[in-house]
Amino acid sequence: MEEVRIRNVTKRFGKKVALQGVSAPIPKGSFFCILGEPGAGKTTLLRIIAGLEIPEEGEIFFGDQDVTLVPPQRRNVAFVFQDFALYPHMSVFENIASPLRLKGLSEEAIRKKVVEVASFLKIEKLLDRLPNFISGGERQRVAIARALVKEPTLCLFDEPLVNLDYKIREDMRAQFKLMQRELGQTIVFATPDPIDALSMADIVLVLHEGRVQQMANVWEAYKRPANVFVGKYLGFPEMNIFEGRVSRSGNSLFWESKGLRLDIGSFDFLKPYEGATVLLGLRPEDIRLGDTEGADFTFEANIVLSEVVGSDTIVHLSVEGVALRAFVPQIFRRPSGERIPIGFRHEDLYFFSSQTGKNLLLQEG
Amino acid sequence: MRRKINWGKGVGIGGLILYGIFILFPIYWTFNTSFKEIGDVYKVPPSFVPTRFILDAYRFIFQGTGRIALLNSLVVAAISTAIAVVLGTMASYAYSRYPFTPLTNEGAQFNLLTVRMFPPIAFLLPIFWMWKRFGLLDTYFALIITYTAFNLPLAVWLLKGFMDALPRSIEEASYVDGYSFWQTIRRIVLPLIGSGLAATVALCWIFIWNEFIIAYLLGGRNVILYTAYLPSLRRGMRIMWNQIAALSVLAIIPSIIILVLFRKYLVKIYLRS
Amino acid sequence: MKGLPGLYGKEKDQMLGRAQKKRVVLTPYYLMIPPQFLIWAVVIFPLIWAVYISFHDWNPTISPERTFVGIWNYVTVFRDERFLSALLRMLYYSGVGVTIQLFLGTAIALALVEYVRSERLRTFLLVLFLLPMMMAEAVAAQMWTLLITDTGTINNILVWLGLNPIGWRSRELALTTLMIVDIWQWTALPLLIAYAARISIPESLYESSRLDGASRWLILRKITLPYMRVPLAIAFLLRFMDSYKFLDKVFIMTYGGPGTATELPTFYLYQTAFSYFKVGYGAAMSWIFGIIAVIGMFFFWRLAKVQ
Repeated sequence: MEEVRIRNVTKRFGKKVALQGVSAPIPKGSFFCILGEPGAGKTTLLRIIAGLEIPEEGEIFFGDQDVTLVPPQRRNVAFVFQDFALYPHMSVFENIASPLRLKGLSEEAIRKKVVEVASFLKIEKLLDRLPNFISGGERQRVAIARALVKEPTLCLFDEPLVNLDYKIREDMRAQFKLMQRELGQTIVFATPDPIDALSMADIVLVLHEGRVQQMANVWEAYKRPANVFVGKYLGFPEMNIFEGRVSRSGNSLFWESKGLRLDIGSFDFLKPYEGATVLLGLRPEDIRLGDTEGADFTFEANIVLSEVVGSDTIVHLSVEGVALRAFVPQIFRRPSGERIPIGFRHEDLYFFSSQTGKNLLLQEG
Repeated sequence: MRRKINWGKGVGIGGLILYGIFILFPIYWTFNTSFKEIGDVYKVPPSFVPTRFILDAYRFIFQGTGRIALLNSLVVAAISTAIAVVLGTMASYAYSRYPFTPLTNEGAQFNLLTVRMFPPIAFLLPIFWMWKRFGLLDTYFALIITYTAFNLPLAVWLLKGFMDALPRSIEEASYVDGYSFWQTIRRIVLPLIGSGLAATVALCWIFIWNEFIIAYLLGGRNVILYTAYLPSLRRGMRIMWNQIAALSVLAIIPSIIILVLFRKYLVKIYLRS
Repeated sequence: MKGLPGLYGKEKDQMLGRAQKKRVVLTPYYLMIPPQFLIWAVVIFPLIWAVYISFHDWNPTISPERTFVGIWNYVTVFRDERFLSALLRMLYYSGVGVTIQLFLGTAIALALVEYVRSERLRTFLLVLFLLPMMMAEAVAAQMWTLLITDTGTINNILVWLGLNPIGWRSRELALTTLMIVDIWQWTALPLLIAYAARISIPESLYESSRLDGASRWLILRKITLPYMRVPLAIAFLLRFMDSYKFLDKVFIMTYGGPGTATELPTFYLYQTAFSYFKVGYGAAMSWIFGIIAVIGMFFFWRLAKVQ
């Protein structure tokens, strides 16, 4: 069942277009992730769903009710702001109790609910403190508690992880996902970080300059990105993109750029593009280093630099003067200049139109 | 090197002491004079320390017009500060949160500020004739309303600073929680700018308390404020310096209280106003 | 996707328009109505009336008749030697007075930070130094009048010390005396601003340059003063514009005299409008006054925006 439907929403600020014709259904109980760079319109979309902004065009439906003009007070949504927006002059308890105060509950019932939510989020010890005297991670939990206690139709999160330390962030991702599963709460989560989307989301909506690039199940979007932007953005590190020409040689098709030549005879959908320039995408995590068994394509590469990130390594390589990055989920230290065989499979390749950026595989169907 | 530092330090501390004496002496002397009999005021050599505390001057102030003038100043300043701060809160909220409407954009804000930068005397000619035309010259009403209008820009300007410092998202969180606009103002905005509000009240009040020319021109007979009353003590054959001094001492007490209470805010506030 | 319930088309657009106005645009107007009403009633409406009256010759003490004279009043202002010399006097008075206030205030603020180590003593001194600023100009003027009359305290002390008394309110000295009183009262403002600017300079800057072996004089010139340049410029402008409003002390201490020795433009305006009751002429003068103030204000606003 659909909980919320965004229908053809356009929003401008003066002359600047923040959102252009955005449509999306948000299913009940889903973890819905809005992914985009800063300034892509994520926050604006969340604010429109919450009722803090009214779109110039388009509608928002909750169930089958048009709520486009309903003010936030009467929407039964919760919003976790990027800066958490706790009331600094109220104790943590009062902050969490705030949405309950208007429901005509007894003091006792309020206390019971607040304590319940607080212990669920493990902040029951902080209830008497003031927000300015607790840590950033704790503040975020208070903001989440204030949202959950309301038992809203949907819970909106505006980049809640960017203000947190790297360490806490890792921790919070797992907790978010568990919490959402346990409560069955519909969550809309805006983030600039593809890892957030990949690790937590059921559905991802990729925004770029106010337009929807793709909306799909998150693994669907990862495996079949609608265009170059989604391919590059949804994934870490960024997808390698090469420009090359499709040409026929013998009975097979080849994709060629200055240093690389790949036999792409098995990709039927590329036949119409013979003689055209297309973009080839290759995810760093799909490149195998050293052990190339089972690979459809193999090359010899020079290691330029091994960049260790946490317990993973981004390996910068050079194949016949073409630079590319590979991702190894372990610490991988090799001296620069060493030669190493690399390989990848057919299904690891993505082809995009060099004009529109569209994924050619999807174009066909 | 060492010698040079001591030299600089000597000049510095000496300068501070001299400046302190320069600042303190007139205040001290007023205090001193207020406890003298009128005959002692002109004595040569002057008595630097009051030998006995003669309260005649204070008695005179408290029994006569002086008391009325002080009370008038107190009341007029209080009422018009209250109105100015209420209106100022409304306007500053609009300025801070909706800066793009014709009434609240930068130009409108600038216009309001010019009211403050205009010399009051340049406004007073038409205002004087307006109140005269309505037969309201020398009434509490005219004084209070005029003071309110003159103080509004200051109130708006100070409060806008405090409003700007308040993140918008806190109010929005309150809307999402279900509170209406006015509930949010009462529950969130006002408590959070509370100390700023207090400082604004104090500053507006002291400006009216200290004001002279409006009090002199728009008041004077029925409604006499102490600043307008002060010069009248100098008329007559013998200037009653001890009474003037006593009234002055009473008049600077609120200034001292406010200065001590709000010393931490003063830097911030003056940089803005 | 089609056939979803809800409002569409014209009805929807109307509703959207209404709601937008109510929630986004109208609130500031509601909020601005009372303050605007007050400003219009007490400031703008009288000012417009002042334009009207400035085109007339009207002296209500002589006759209730108003004669239309066109822009003659404005022309006269610029040919009025008393007004022009008052303006020059003000430039001298403000220029010299404010400069002294600025230098003195800065020096005292720096000395305060540099040489007074005890936090308490420093706060006490700061409060003391700021006290004159918080007092009524009228009260300050009265206090000083007691000191500077011919038989006032200062002259008494001079006589007691066997020196000649000084004519503080003589034609030659009166303007300087006013300047001294103004310095006494208003050095506090640049002092406050300089103090705030000085304590906001990060201490680490001083430590590193001290490690480099820079002398105090060099530190003052290369670190402290450059940092304080902008706040001090603001202080100067603030004081300069305030002194444009300067009236109370002249009124109480010298009443413009002796002769016209201390007649500043504000006081001349007061005399014209409220002693001679040349209302039309006074209104024209008020407007010229106001326009000069707005121009000054505008430059100040621009400068403040740049910061």
